[in-house]
Amino acid sequence: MQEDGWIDESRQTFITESQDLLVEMENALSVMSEGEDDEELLNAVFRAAHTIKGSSGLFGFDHIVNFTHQLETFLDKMRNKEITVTPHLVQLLLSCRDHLEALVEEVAEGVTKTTLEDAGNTLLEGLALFDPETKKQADNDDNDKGKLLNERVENSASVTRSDSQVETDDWLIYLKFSENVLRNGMDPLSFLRYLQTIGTLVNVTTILHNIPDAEHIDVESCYLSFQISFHGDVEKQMVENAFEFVEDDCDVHIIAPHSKLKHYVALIDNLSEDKELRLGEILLEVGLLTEKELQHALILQERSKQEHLDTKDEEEHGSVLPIGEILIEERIVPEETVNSALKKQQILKEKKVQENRSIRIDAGRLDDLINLVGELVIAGAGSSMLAQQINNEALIESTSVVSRLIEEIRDTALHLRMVPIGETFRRFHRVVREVTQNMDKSVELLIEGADTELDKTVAEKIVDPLTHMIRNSLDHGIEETPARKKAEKRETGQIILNAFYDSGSIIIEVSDDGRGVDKEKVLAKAIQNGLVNSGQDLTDKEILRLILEPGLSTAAKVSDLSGRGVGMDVVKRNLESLRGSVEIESTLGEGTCIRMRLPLTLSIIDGFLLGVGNATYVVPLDSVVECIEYTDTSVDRSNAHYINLRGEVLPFICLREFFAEEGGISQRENIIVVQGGEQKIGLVVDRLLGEFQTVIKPLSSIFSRLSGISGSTILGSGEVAMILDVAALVEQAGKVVQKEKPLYLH
Amino acid sequence: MNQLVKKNSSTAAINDTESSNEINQFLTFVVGEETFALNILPIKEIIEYNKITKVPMVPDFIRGVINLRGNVVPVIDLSARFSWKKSEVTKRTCIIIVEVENETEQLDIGIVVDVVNEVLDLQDVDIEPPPALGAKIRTDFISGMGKVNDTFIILLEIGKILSIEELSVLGSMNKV
Amino acid sequence: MDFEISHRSQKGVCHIRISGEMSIYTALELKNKLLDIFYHITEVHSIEINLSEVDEIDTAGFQILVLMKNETARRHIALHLVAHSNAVLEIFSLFNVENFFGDPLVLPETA
Repeated sequence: MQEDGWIDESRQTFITESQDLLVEMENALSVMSEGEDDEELLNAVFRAAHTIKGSSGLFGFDHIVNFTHQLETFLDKMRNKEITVTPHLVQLLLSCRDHLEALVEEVAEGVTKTTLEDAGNTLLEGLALFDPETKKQADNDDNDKGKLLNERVENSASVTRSDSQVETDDWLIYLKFSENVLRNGMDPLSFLRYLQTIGTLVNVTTILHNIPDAEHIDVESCYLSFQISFHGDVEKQMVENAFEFVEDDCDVHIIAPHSKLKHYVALIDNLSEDKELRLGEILLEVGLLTEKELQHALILQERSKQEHLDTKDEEEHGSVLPIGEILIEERIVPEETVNSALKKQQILKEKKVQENRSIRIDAGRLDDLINLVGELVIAGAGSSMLAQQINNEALIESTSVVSRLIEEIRDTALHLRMVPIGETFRRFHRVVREVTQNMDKSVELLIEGADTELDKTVAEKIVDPLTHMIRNSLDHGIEETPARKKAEKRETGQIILNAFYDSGSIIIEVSDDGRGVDKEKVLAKAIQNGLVNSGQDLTDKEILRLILEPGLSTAAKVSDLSGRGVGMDVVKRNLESLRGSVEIESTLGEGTCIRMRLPLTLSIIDGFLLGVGNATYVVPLDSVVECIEYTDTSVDRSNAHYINLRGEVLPFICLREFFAEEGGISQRENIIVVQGGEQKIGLVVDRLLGEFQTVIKPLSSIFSRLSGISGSTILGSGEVAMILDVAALVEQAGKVVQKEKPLYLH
Repeated sequence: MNQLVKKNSSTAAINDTESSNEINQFLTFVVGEETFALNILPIKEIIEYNKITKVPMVPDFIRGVINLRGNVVPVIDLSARFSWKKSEVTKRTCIIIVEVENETEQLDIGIVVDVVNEVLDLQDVDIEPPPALGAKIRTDFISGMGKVNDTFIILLEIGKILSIEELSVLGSMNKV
Repeated sequence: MDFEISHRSQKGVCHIRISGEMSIYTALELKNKLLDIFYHITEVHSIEINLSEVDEIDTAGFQILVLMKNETARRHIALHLVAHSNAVLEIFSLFNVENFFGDPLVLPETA
């Protein structure tokens, strides 16, 4: 029965979640290894370890719990400054992270009994060496922070605690499961069992009266709710983590031991009236408060609420203080605990708010939504067109309102898929560190524009190309330290990852201050490989582009990383599949910059409609610079392929001829000036048809080798229109112009 | 005009112990002067010949693309694919939507035919191997010859005719 | 078979024995069978369910026991759960519902 789908599903959640956390952990550690000493980084590492521990406990992966627990204990000491951060230590922590990854991997592969226990123990022993207490038996020390583990290891709920603090009260957890929780593969039992592993269940009250009678019961629904008083030296986060997997299926209120009253009030506020009494009874039954205390506090609370109803803000925060004061005054709770409770409460509250700001959505559902929005855009364009044809003003008005709303929905929907690129960038700290470990090189990675957002798919797909580029820079770009000294360069080489927006695209740059590309060598090699004819006259840019061709590596020796001449070829292909382009700049001895231009989204763009002969084409609006009238009919089109635009040489393509479209030449042709990369070209078209929200429909793979067209879209009329690939057209125009006028480029 | 072909052929019901008696269903249609037949299994639907958008810079036998319920589907001129002259569009011209697949993907392609005739039941015994020579089209486009009332109809090998590889290679040759 | 259920009535007491799995997978069938027995018994003043052979029980299974307790109470028939298996004891103790059922529990020797 255990092999059923739902187990797999929740296990899958565990795996993906853990993997996400491991990435976070790695990012934080990577930054730390750069010498950054930020508490927040350590906290991030800690949180990740902590959450993994929590969820593995839930699934009964005890070996992961054991490992992460000890790791967490150690990290906690680091947080408390009992252990100082050194590069070696960070390295070791990275290894621990890798170990965790391997453990999660095992789970993913369905390995039930870990084979990695020894490896884990070695790592933990390694960590212990950094612990100044060096008491190997620290874990057995009751005052040590590791007592949690003791509770686990001894598997006993009644370890006596010798806390110096006055934290003798219990956590109160109110749990109401949704009816679907069982069907979704979770059982309240597991949560109780999990709580038992991190502390003691002092009292459990199971509320049974919601179970319907025989006629109405659905045996697969859950009707239970629980009032649990729980004793354990844990943080709120940890208790919360236990319920992370059922967030949607469960109404959880966790009341920290320190701050009972406010939470009681909040709880009571949240409950319907008939339950209020029951809850009151339950609170009393659990024995956290006496009836008198509760009544008293509530009355005082009510009073203070009345006094502080001035502003919303004060109602939220302000009411806490008076009650705290009253409690202190009334000597129900000692002052220091109230103060620390308030502080902690505030922190937890902020943290909670932050966490709740994002929700996890299945990527497939998001894609469905965006597809639907795409259909909506097309349908909307269709009705706008009809309204225009019928020429009913009221109808036109109303469709234009709808269009505007659709546009907003489109933008919002697309934005849902956007992620900051920083996360992608940061993972390369590790690549740099690992690669340079075995080299006589010192390299630092700088990240700029980390907040620049782009489509998640694009972000995922550029990882491979970026890896290749960075490895290339590390391997061939940055020189060995002695060579750098000799060249009077900074000993530490730099690789800079940068991202920014530029006319509707995102630009990602990988630059280094290494030795640069030797163009002569590249050209020689290309001629040798038959990529270029020896007589061919190439610009610097074209020569540099050659390094993207397959089979071209100028590295004298092939390392295990790069130099086989396959890497950069992959870069080019990956980028093309994303409708991106790449440019390279390099100065011998000074460095190289590879610049990738990528679309922000892959599904919907703002387009501009063009009429060419009888056909309609779409050009991405972002690439349109201006439109000018083209009246000079005296230009002999077969010879001249450029015009003078305000003193600038502008090559152009006559689309009707280029695409061999039929249909009469319009009396008033237009030139639409588009920009691809750094270069502008003109496109001669017959008609300008205005802006159009363009849902990109990929062209069938039989057109995969077609250049100049990047995709297709469906117009409001239901007709299909081709989307122009501006970058490819620019390249095409450049070639034509160059043949005639080689001086054209600069 | 939407003539939907029933995909639930009776072949499923026939016991295949005697393979020689197995019945295959074929759709017959006319291209140029010739009648051809195509196994109905890969056929998804038959639609009216409607507005086709030309794709620039491709060989003649790629007529263009159509909007098939929100999907952009390429359309092949079968006559031109056979290296005959491009077929004229008449009232009876149809597009047959066929699903083809290679190792990596499955895609829909439309083929233009002059007239769609009927669905034909052919027993295995009525199917002869393709002739070595003498056919009006490439022999590897032929999967067999179907015997109907003492005449032979060419059964098309659609996988070859619409081979994604071949179509896309040809597509790149015709660049300006 | 994921679970089995048998019953016989003797001297006004209906003895039911459930063995196997009382879980969300068996809950529907289990409920139907139990109610079927329950609706067809006559001249019975108490029901005794032997749980000694229940080797797996989850929340869904547990809810059925509560349901039976409620249904029997409405018809003024006493319900006794006897010979709780370890699995049953664990869930009862986790949910802290020993008092709700009010049956004497025989703790396993190891406890």
